[in-house]
Amino acid sequence: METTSVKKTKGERIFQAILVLFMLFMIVITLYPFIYVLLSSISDSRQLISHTGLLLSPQGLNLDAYVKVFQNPNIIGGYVNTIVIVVGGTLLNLFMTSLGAYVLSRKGVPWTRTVMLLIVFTMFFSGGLIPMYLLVNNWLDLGNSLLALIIPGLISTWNLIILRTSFEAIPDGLIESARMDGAQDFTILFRIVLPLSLPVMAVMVLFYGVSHWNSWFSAMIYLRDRELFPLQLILREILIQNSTAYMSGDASASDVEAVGESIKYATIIVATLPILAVYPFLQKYFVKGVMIGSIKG
Amino acid sequence: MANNTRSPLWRKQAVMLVLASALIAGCSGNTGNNNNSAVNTGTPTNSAAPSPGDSSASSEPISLTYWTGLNAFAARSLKEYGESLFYQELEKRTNVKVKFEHPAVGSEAEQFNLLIASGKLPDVIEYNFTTYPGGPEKAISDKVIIPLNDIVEQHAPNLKAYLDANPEMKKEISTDNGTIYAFPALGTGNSNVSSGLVLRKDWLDELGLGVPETIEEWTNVLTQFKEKKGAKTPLTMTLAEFKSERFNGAFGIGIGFYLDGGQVKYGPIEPGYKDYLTQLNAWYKDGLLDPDFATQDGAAKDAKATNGSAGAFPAFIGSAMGKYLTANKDSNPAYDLVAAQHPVLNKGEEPRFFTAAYDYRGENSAGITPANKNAERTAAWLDYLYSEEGNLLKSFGVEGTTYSLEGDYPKYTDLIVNNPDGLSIGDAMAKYLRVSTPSPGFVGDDRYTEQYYSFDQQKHAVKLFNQYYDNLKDTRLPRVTPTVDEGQELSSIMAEVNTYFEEMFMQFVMGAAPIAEFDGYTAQLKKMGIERAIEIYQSAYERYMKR
Amino acid sequence: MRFIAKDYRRHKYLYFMIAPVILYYFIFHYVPMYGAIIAFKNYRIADGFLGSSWAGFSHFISFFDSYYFWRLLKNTLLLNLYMLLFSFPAPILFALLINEIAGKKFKSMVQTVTYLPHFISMIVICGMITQFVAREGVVTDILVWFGMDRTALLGHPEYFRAVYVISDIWQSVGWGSIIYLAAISGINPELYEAARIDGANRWKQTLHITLPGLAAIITILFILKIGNMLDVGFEKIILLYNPSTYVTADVISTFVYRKGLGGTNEFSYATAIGLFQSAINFMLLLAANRFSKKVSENSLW
Repeated sequence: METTSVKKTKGERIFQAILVLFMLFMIVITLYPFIYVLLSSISDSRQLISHTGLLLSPQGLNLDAYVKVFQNPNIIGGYVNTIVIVVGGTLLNLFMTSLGAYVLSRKGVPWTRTVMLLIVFTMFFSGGLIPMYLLVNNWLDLGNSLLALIIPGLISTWNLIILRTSFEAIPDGLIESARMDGAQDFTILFRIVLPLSLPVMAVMVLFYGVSHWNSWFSAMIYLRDRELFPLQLILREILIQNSTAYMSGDASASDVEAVGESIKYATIIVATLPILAVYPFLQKYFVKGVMIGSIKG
Repeated sequence: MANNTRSPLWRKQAVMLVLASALIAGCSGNTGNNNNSAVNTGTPTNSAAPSPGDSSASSEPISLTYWTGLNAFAARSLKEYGESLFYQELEKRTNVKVKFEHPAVGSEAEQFNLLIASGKLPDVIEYNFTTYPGGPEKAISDKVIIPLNDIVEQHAPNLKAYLDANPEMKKEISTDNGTIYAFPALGTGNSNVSSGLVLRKDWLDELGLGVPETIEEWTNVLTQFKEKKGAKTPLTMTLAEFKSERFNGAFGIGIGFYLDGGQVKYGPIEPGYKDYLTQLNAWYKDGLLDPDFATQDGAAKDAKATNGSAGAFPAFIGSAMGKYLTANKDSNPAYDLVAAQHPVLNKGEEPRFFTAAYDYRGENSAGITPANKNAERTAAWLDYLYSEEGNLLKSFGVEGTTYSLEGDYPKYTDLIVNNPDGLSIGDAMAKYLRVSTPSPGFVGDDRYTEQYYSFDQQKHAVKLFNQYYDNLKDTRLPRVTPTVDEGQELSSIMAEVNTYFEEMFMQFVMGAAPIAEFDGYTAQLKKMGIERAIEIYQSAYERYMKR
Repeated sequence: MRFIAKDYRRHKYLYFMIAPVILYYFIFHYVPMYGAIIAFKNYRIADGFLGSSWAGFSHFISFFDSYYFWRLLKNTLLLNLYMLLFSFPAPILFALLINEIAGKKFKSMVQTVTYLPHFISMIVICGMITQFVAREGVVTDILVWFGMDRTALLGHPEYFRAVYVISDIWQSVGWGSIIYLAAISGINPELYEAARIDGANRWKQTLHITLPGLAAIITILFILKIGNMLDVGFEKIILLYNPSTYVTADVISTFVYRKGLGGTNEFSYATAIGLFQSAINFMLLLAANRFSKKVSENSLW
């Protein structure tokens, strides 16, 4: 909300000062992991290995890690695949979730309660991995395609509930007056409800988008062509090379040289930076107030 | 199989030479696990041709679908194995085209299950069938793979000859009722032990100390590291490293299930374990053992090993020793490491418990599925890898490109050891060859190991760690197969046993529980069913011995 | 049926709109539900769902009889309780504070930076946490300055929950505040105008306008959290715990995970335990939802 120029009392000024200090503290502690990863990625692996404690400067500045990462034949393809999944997937997600949230937020429609219950039920009970795999891979023949990564997750019940809660807050008066003007449900949804819900729609874009961007499990299960692998799956392959969980008990097999530490971090940066750049664009939807006043007759 | 008219003359002469020398040396008939001559075991007249009984023309190209995990290091340079020099050359020589299916690195176990669930099997599956629930027999009766005895007999002369010459190995790779189920990854060479205890040689030299062999010497060395070199954590380890056989061997017990005179025993309830715990607790109390061993991760341990906080630690020869030595090469040239023999209690005793790979590697053995329409050709194709020529191709590549012959000895070229694109040796080997990780055929060729380990300290370590490998025959439990029901029972028991054991281990070592409570602890483990678990392993072992 | 027909005429388009949604849930959630049957069988992949032998309730009994059952249950519930008490309100408070920031640029920067830890993979984050609370770690240094004995915090079961919950706040407070900030920005600005004209200061405005405006979303998210009381994400615990801390850190999911490492495919057992957890969770959710309906206007249905 906008703060218009009102004289600040002394109490308010002290409050602002403490607030700023607190926020600076929060910024420092939440920025540090990112700084750590960034500095590690431009450090020399050999010097990085002996370092302990806080990392505040690169250990031996060198960009080898990034060179090696981009030499990986799968990285560029990974980017392309991920972008396709994020854009295509999120659009479908928004469409389906809006439909569901709208209907379920309508008052005076008795069966919406039952439908909601049935939907929430699915958050708790599922058949497990294998039936889903058989369904997607064998029965629907979606295996080994990007559709397998989008369709099974078309609606996130969590997001559906959040969106529905937000749609419920739209004043009934607006809806009624639109109906009296002859608008049907489709029009009400697209012309009135959605425009008034921009902030939460932006959140939906963020939640679904980030979820697609970060996901690797479905890809791991359904994709067989490495050319379709999304970025996070490639990243995971590189990260687990170093974890002891991956080292098999076979003495000679696990004795192969471990990847340079800095390559691990460079991969994280390469895979995370693009999605971080998206948030500032969505942020502006959180700052604007809703134009309810101007629509109200 | 290779078409004879296409091999150059020199290669035929080389094969003749090798065969001649092999026939002179004779099949070594080695029963021990330490089998150096595997590669040179006599093979019938022509190692590269399909056996006479094979009806399919060797010149007809066939296509196979091949499911296997993609080596993590190969994944950095290759999209699939078909791109590697090894497989491309192999295709040229055998006229078998392979379409690889790779699950994402790290997801092999899950993908294997899904593969079976979906019922769409490829022609060949590479997998560790010893871990299949119910064992490899179940894999056959579940129609995941087919039994191979007849096929090996008729179409895999190289493998057959090797197994006939090495009945112990044949036992290892068969099921309890004698069925051969996969083309195995077989260890040759003397490098099954690839990890052990390592110390700072420069410190030892400075203090005038020899490399410790007995527990007492270890205590002395660690104490001096602490007092004279200011090491904050003279001996450092991670919790996971306590699961390998390191110091426990000195006390005459294995770290888990082991053999003692043909009987299966469980280390943690044996009286020797009490002595082991007492020793660890003493080291912990005196500040010789890193107090944070339970909470630190690999990276923290690496840091201590390289920056002087620690003077002794367990290490893999390649990945750890190599890493530490490289890290200090420029910044601390005095830094030096030396491998220590696995510790014993009294001077002159031989180590009898230490961690090693099995000769039959288990992982990445190739099974033929019922979906395969060319089982005989597939077998012959896989059999090529057990010939001298095939092994050379797999481990060393193409002469002139990836290796050059110095007499009989294949020496890697700069493409591997000094790669122009800046690839490390490991990465280059993973890109062009298939040598560093198990695969069907022979693994761990000594000539490869010598060149892979570039530091002298590593070359010394591999010899030292493997010196007493034969002793493991008497103490190490072979890979036995519980039945399906036994397996389920075992997993229920061990889930609780392991939880309790791990917690008590920490308490004993760190002193939270006095050693006097050892009897109460063994009683509790027995209540949880550990003796039943031992029984299960015992009967599985007896079945194994009857193979 | 007549009711449906009458209702259909009134809400014709709603039926069209909900149809694809229902279809989706039916195909991708209800159809695969048959898989849950393996909780009552000894499932083997090769035998399939029909062919595997029946186990009845044996998996459940085996779990309830386990030496560690009560400990696992207690740890799971306690950890979630602490999360509910501390980790749940944190993003709400944080959103309210961000909302108070006067400088627009600074406000925007705070939002953009504080959500970053959410994007760093768990493995790296837990590596950092382990370092911070290690014997020589930064956080340990600060605590020692306050008089604590120097030790690695993750080696002590009494500190585990605190480390887990506080680090969770660190990781997720920024990201978690996003939904609340969005909700705040949806509150009618006229309400604030009117309040200011009536002389209410920022504190009163927060209390009487902002919080009620957030009531709906807070309630719903709270109910959903109650529906998670028997779940604890095991990845983070696996990365932070060790046998010294099992007594407070070992939860249901980590125990089942370790059991599965034994090699034999523990599908049936894991499914049975999961079913148990889901059943309890669902009942808790029903109770929370009913309670919420009684005391407020907000509920899931």
